[in-house]
Amino acid sequence: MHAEGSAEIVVVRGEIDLATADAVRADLHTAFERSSTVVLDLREVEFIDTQGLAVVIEAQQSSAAAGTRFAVARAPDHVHRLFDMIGLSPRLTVVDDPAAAAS
Amino acid sequence: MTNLHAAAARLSTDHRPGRRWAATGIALLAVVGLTVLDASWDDTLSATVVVAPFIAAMFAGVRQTVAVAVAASSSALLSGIWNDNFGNAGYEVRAAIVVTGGVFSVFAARTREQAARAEALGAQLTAALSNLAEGVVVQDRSQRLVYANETAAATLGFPSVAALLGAAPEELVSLADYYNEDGSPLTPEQYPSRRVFSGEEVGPHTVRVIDRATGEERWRVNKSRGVLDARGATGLVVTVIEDITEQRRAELAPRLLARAGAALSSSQNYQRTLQEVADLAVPSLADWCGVSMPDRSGVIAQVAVAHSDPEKVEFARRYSERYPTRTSDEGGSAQVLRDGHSQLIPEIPDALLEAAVQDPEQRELLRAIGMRSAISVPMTAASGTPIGVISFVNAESGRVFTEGDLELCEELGRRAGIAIENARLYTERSLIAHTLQRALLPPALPEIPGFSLSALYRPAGEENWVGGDFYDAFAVRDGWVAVVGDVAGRGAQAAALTAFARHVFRTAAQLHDDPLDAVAYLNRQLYDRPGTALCTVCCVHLRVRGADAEATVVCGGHPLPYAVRQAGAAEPVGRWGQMLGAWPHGEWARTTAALAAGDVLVLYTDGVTDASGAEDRFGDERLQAALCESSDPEDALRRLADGLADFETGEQADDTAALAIARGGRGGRGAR
Repeated sequence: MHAEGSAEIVVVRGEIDLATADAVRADLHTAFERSSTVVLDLREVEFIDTQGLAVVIEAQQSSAAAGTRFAVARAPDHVHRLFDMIGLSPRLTVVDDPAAAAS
Repeated sequence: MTNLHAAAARLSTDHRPGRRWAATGIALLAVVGLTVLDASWDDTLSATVVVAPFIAAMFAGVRQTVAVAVAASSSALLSGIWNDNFGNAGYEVRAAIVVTGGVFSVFAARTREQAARAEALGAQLTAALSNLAEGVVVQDRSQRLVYANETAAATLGFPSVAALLGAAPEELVSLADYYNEDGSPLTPEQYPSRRVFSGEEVGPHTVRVIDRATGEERWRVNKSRGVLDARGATGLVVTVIEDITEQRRAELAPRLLARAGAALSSSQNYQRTLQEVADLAVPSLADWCGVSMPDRSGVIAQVAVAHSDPEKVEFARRYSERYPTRTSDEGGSAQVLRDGHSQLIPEIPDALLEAAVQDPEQRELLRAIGMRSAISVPMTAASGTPIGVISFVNAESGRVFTEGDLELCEELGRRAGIAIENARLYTERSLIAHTLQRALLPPALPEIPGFSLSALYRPAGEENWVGGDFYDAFAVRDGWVAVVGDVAGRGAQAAALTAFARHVFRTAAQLHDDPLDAVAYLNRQLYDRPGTALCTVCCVHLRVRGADAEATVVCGGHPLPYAVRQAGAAEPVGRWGQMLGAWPHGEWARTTAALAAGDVLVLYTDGVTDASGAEDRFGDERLQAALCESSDPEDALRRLADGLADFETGEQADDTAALAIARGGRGGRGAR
């Protein structure tokens, strides 16, 4: 997790599953406390399961409720396919470069 | 050697200086007296002055002797000059006698003093050695003891040093049994002194000694060093014997308890854990260690047994099978289990065996073990109720248990009891989890007239705390609904949510005619729950259409089901819809497909596609390939399970559920 301008960037690598979901959730929580713009950098995520999807949905929901900005930096295609499958994609701001979202 | 010289020099300070000076005084008086006499009587006595240095040599120190000798020689010379300047023949001879005698006296005094010093050193060193807390023995090449200090005599069990030195080597060995630290008997070849004589460098050697007469256990460290003779061969071996029994006992308890504690807390399988604890107790604490717990039939079953000899372990197993102990038995383990009091029998007399065991054959078997001393302690749960018994027996080592051993054993029993109780609670919790998990699924799939059904359910991990996959199948007004779902989260909360989702969906589907309404209703119910309640579902509304059927598929955030067509190809059916519980409103799509007789529809959760192999995930393509050519629901799920089994590496990470449905009776189409 690091700051980029006024935004907090949460970088995740590898897998978001039962084992790691809580850590990502905690990082996002901290990020939202520090900034009103949070980017979840999923560019190096290889796998995401139901637990991981729940984390992204929760972040999207809480940012929508609080009126803050939340974006994900584009994940590999197969992860976006899952976002499509669960109906998350239309509600999600996707950026190609986390730094761009910060400006 | 320099140190010895210094020590000797320090020791030589005479403890009777008065005698020295008196002797010196008498010698000087003799010199003066004899000289006067010689001067007055002329040439008769001059040689006799040599007596003076002799007196000094016998009683005074070297320096005093030198002084007396010089005085005597000077007197003899002066006397010669006085008397006609050596004119008298023979004066030279007499003077020479006095000088020679003086020189001789000085050497004699020196030798006497050195001898006295050496003697004093020897006496002091011997005194020092005999007062040493460590035992010291010196053996010559024939292995006989040539020296021993008092501590050595006491350590080796002799009333005095003389008795020890008088004992034959065989007698020494026969008083006790000797073992190495690992429990193996100490062989004569391993004796440190013998190894030093054969030219080996031998480090400190720890020996466990059991006194044959008293059964007392002692621990010793022997350090042997060779003493080289003038030719460079090992002439003597000095062995320092340190008794470390107290230290050893003080260490054993915390070490054993720590290791037992680690074993007891590491595993949930208490039977294996108890075996580890029994293994730890052997041989450091006892020759045998056994753990018994009562079973439902009233037999106090042996759950663990340890001995350093595997054959004896086998013997104990066979013995306990042949002569089971019952909770109703008199005395022994049954008694300990009933009243919770530990038992210490330092010496087991044969009469006790006679009285306790009626069967002569059984008695003989027990006699053959040669039990000498025993301890039985209860394993006590936190409530104080004994739940088992740990027995410690000493046999072949001949060791006798002490009160100190009993305390240690009781502590082991307490710790084991608590650990077992925890393990039992864990097992019980697993059972509750398992029961809950079963409750999330229908007790059995219903018989659906005109359809055949098969289900697969693999929770992640053997003792997994309930996961979130579920499936269900039930009748609705105009047909049947089958559903597979996956709730996000783990643990009790997820379990509760899973049960909620399944029942809400079932009720909604039975009340609404349209599965779409049921999905939307469940979404709203989940969304309105406090906190995040997310769930994916895939449901199928089945209706009979003549020989075939019609399947209406609705998916909410769930992977699409596959239809395996009669021709063998597997194709996905339906359209994606949003996950339930995430957003208040949503749009889900109905897809109606024909399910011809012989087609198989397979619903599954992402545990199937997410299963990880050596390099990647199982994925859609492998699933599709595995399902191709499925002949009926059962076959489809068998293919799916086989495909997963071949692919998967490591432990299964997620729950896996699948449901397969076909129009027609089971096996109606026959095998392809």
